[in-house]
Amino acid sequence: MAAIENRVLLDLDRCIGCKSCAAACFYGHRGMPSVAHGVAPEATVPVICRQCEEPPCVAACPFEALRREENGAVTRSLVFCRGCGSCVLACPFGAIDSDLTRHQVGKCDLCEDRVGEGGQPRCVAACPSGALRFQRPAEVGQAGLLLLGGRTAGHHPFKRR
Amino acid sequence: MAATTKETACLLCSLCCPAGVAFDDYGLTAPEYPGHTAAARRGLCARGHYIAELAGHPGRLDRGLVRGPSAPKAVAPSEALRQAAAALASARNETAVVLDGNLPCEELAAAVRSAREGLGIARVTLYIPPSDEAVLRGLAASSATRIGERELGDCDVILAVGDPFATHPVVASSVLDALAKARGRRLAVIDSVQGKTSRFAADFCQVRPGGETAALAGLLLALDAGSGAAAGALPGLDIPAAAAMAGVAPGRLEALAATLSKAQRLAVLVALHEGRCAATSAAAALAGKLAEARGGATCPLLTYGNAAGAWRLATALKTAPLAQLVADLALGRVRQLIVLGTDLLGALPRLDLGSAEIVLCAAPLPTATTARAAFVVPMAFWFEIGGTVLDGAGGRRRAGAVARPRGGALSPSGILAALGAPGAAPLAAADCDALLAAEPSVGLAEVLGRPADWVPRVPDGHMVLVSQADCVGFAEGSTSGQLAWPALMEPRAVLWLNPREATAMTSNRATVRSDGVALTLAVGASADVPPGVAVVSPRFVETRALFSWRGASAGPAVVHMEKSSGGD
Repeated sequence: MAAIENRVLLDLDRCIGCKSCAAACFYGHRGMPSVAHGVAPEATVPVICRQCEEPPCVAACPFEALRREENGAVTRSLVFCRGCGSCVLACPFGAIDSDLTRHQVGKCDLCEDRVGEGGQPRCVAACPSGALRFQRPAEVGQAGLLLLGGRTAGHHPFKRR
Repeated sequence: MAATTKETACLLCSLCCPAGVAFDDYGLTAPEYPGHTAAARRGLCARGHYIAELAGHPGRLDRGLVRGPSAPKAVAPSEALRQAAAALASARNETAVVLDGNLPCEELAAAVRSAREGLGIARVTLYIPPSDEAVLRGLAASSATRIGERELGDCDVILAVGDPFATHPVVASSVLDALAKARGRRLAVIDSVQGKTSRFAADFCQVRPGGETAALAGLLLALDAGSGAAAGALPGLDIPAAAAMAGVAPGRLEALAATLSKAQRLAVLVALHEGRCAATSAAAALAGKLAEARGGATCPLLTYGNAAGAWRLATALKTAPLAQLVADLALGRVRQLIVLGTDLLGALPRLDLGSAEIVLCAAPLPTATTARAAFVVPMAFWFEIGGTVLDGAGGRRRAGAVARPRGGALSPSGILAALGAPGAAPLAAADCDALLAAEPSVGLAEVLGRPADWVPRVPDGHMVLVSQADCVGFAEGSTSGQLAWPALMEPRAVLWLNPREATAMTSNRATVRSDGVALTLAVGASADVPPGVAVVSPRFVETRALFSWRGASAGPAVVHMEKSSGGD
């Protein structure tokens, strides 16, 4: 299985907070979305799983429902997940949300059905302003953008806001 | 699990973006993005995703319904149509047909002909959202060219009237690309509420609610100061008077006019939706004149994908305007209504039906109108019919059929044929072109009206209620209320107030009184909302009733706000 080196990166200079990425994730994952929205006073930005190299959510899961695949994606098994919420608490970025009605958690799987065939994750394909990119983090610096915290980019990410 | 993807055009706004629906073996549907490539990073907004849910919606009407003296009875669609035909047998001269305009042009033309020639019903109205019609009428009063959102990349100054990034997010990609192309390119925004577009603007002219028209008039006067041509079109109005009406300093308008005057290529985005501007057609006309004065272009952003096509067809086929239908209903000239596709009572919550009865309503999903109709039959969506549409700029697009109509659903022309109208022959491409070729001409004075009517007057102790600019809610009708994602994101209406006024409410609910309508809503605080203004989403039928309705169009409402006890 080839490693997925690309990650979903957010260009703050272009994000308009339209939540189209959340709609794409919702409809693409049968109503179990994994794109949350952080609402700050001046911005609404998507919070998407970073697919950590040493994921705390995997370590926290008592049912071994979460695991890091060989390709680098951190996935969640719907069969083993009991919706206990341990991963929700463990995630330092608030990127995992629990679904209280289905007793499951929504967890970004990098749209493996699309990415495996050379496509892009749904949130990136749907983004109407071009704010979400599916790139290697190193490429962002080469494009002249400033990378903050590993996944957030922009020429002047906080100037406008 | 093999999936088949089919492409169409999204008609949930006038950008008519390419949209795909993937069908799997189990009949489940998911959105696809035919317009997206890694190079051309343009996707599909949240609203565009609704097509996938509509295509496989579990609440889809698949039976006919007959409402008699007893409980409603489910019957086969053909039986409901047979009984409806019998009920319609008399009083053809007092019957009106309302046909949703967001359908392919060939289908609209065929349905109008079937109603007139087959059923002998002269009163046929093509329903276009009143704000769309007002924008199209206003723009027709100027000779400015119209461009689509893809052509915005060539523009060095972009003036947005309204909040296009919120209502039409796909336009953001082109605007941001245009701004990034070269130094000195500017985005200016005229709006009454701080929004998604104004955050990116170099010049944000925040006007009082409904002040967009006056601000545009002031800009036109400032730009045209030398020639005096604008002053001729706007008699009795000067820059200080226009600025006072708009609620901004005259110098602010002059500074913005100076920015516009430097434009090599100016684009004016017109994103005026229901409940936001008191004189939408006047604002659109002035936006067109402003673009014309600088040799620029306008980019209309409308609610219906085929609003421009339906408007041209309505003129070419001489159908009755919506305002005429509203007046006829109030005067009792119409006794029987056939409503095809549109949620008339959801879109126009203050519509006075008078003594009229909705005999037949055809719709894909249950709506406020189907709940009142004597006979209900399932109707096909546009993506099950397919045909030609005109986008906001008048460009021709092909909206392909991605699925067969479900559960015996018929197209409007099919329904009219079942009512007794012989099926009209399909419209030849040349005939359709001829009908869509000419744009109606509208006089400037006719759409400008009286400047005194441009801005609502606010008595002491009252506030102005404007509609929220948002792409989550589809402002027309109740369709989005039945979709899963909008209901998850926005399950109920929230009244947004300035933090200081929201805090003063003491309880987290407020009762809004507007012209005989009272509604209690949850209150939210937002720093984007200026003092004296309240903002509410127009996607709920009950909140739509709060706006100031004049005939068929809604503007900002002057409301009285009261604290409401018993919070959540």
